[in-house]
Amino acid sequence: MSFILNPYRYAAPSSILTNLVSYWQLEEASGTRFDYHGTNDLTDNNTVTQATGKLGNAAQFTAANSESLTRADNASLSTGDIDFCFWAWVYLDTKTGVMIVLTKNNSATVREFLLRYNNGPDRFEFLIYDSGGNIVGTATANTFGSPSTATWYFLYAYHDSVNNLVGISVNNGTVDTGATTGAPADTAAAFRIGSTATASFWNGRIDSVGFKKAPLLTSGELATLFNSGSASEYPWS
Amino acid sequence: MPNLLDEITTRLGAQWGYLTQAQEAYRAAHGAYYQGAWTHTEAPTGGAEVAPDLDSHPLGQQATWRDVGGLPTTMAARLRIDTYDGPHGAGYVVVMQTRLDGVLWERRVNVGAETERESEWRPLFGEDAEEGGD
Repeated sequence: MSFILNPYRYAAPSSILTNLVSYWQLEEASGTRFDYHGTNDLTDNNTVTQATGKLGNAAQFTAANSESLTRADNASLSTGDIDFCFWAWVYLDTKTGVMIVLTKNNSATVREFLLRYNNGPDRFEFLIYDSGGNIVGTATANTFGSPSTATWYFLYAYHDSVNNLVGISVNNGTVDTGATTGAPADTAAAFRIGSTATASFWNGRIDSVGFKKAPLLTSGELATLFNSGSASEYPWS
Repeated sequence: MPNLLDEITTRLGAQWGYLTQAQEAYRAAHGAYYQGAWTHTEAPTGGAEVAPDLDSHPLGQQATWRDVGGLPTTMAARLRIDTYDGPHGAGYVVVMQTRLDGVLWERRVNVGAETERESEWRPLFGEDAEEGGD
């Protein structure tokens, strides 16, 4: 007697799911954006709309309308001096000013981390802060360089608590790192996609955002998420 | 807190019923609360009463303050409305700003489930005053 195993039926869960906190597909047309993995559904502020995404649909942010998505602080979204990482597909309608992809930020003194486009150096950046809101780590995507408008980019940003580094890469390319110079803080700041508490509103689209509390993603996991520029969808198995 | 802020709060209180009624009427007709753009480009200074721009509106939303109503003819603080729609329901925040002795003051009044959005008059300094904080 012999057995034939169905490899699809018995496919192992993706390692990307291990220690995954939240994943927002951002498929919704309006209102609440649901967390497809965890419990951090996002509140819509000022009517974030919808546009064609990298995978399916994306959240379309209009900076002039002060649009954003938010979730109140809670233990699952809090970081501090631990390993954590984010990834997201982003699309710039314009390159006007500083524009926030995601952050935990209530003010200049109560903030935790921030992933943004900065029109000063014309780069994507990832920053983390101490308990006073001071920057204690910056990674700038200099290797990738200047992004274009109307183009999808895959951003990956992380904090490495063992080696005291922050890092950022674009389109699964070379990671640019920066050393941390202080203790990253866990604060009461709310989690936000598309702005700080009051400003720096994203003007464009954001799609498929993941947040994981774990050591760095492996090259294989990053390759799965980037999928040669085509992206891949939860649960990645 | 300067007495003038108390005065502005009193004036808003007299207008509050009109504003909330206008919001409920707008939601009944459109399925969502009205998002209001700033009524003034700059915050009124020193308690001066300044007429609001009734034609201002956010991009992609055609309705203006003139269509929605609920505003007084002159105001000593500028005002905008931030709407939200989340897991606990829909609501909105009325954000007011006025400038006294060079300091920009802001108050936020929440209508809806997300009560943590409310704040009393507070001075804005540094990056907050510049609408920054990133």
